Amino acid sequence: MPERFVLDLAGQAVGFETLCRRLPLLSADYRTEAAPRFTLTSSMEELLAEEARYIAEYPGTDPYDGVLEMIVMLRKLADAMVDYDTFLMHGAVIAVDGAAYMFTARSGTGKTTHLRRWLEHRPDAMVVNGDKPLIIAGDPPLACGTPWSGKERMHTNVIVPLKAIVFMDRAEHNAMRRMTFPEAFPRLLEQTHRPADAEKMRKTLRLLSSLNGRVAFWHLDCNNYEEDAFAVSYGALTGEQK
Amino acid sequence: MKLKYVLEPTELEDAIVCVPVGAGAEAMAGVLKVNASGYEIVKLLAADTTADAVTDALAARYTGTPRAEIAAYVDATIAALRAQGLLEG
Repeated sequence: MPERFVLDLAGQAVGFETLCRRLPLLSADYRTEAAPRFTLTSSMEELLAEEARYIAEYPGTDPYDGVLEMIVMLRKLADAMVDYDTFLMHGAVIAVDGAAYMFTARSGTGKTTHLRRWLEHRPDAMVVNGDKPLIIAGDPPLACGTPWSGKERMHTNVIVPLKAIVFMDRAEHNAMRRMTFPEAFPRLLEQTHRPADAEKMRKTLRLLSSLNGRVAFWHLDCNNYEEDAFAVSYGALTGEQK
Repeated sequence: MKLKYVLEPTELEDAIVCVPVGAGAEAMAGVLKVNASGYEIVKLLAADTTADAVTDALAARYTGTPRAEIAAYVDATIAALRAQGLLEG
């Protein structure tokens, strides 16, 4: 029997009918009694197709159905949310003093480790989402927590104005510099969910373009281990010394 | 020859970034960054055509530029697109 529930995601009530227990267990903080605007379902056929894709990408792994269903549902959610001016990104978002900052990079670059540096120095900071935040493309753009938050499961059910997006690369020393929107755009696109549907992809491009002038783009060379790893990014983003 | 994918333009300050959309788009991981003239060629390559036909179309539009210069630019752009695996036929 499928499990039916409704989650409040990026301000929209989204219905889910799941075959596995993982999503309902991990999304308890997002439950709502509101009537869903739309409902997402999954089937065994979709889970099997996702398993084939997963194993092709990560040979030697044996993902279980709950994980596969999370992936299937996230893709469907990301596709559907485009209709609500909302898109999905790969990145870690932290909020301090009412502003959210996204650190994005290829997996393994050190996004989560960098977030931990912030939490060490600003214990009052809040992780909006450690892996897959939704972004509402308004003025200002808003970063939203989701239950899809990576293996560390760092997330909070909040919506916070997004002030900056930081593209990270590993480097010997820590350094920050501003990026222009044209410079940032290819990397922004690389870290954004691309719907297969052509019209939804066109809409996604328009939503990404709307960030120009509303969000600051930065590049961070980062080693995460030197003493100034936190100070460099925190100082540049907030204008404060720490 | 024609483009393998539908490329959607996004205009930036210094260039036009063409992003693949729709069927087969996931096979192209990156984006194509072109200037305004390059984008004219990209648009013409959306339908099945030839290098000569593309040159003719541009020569009709840019009458002040020698045809040989346009042809060389078209050939170079087509070669670049082909090297990136964006053309079929």
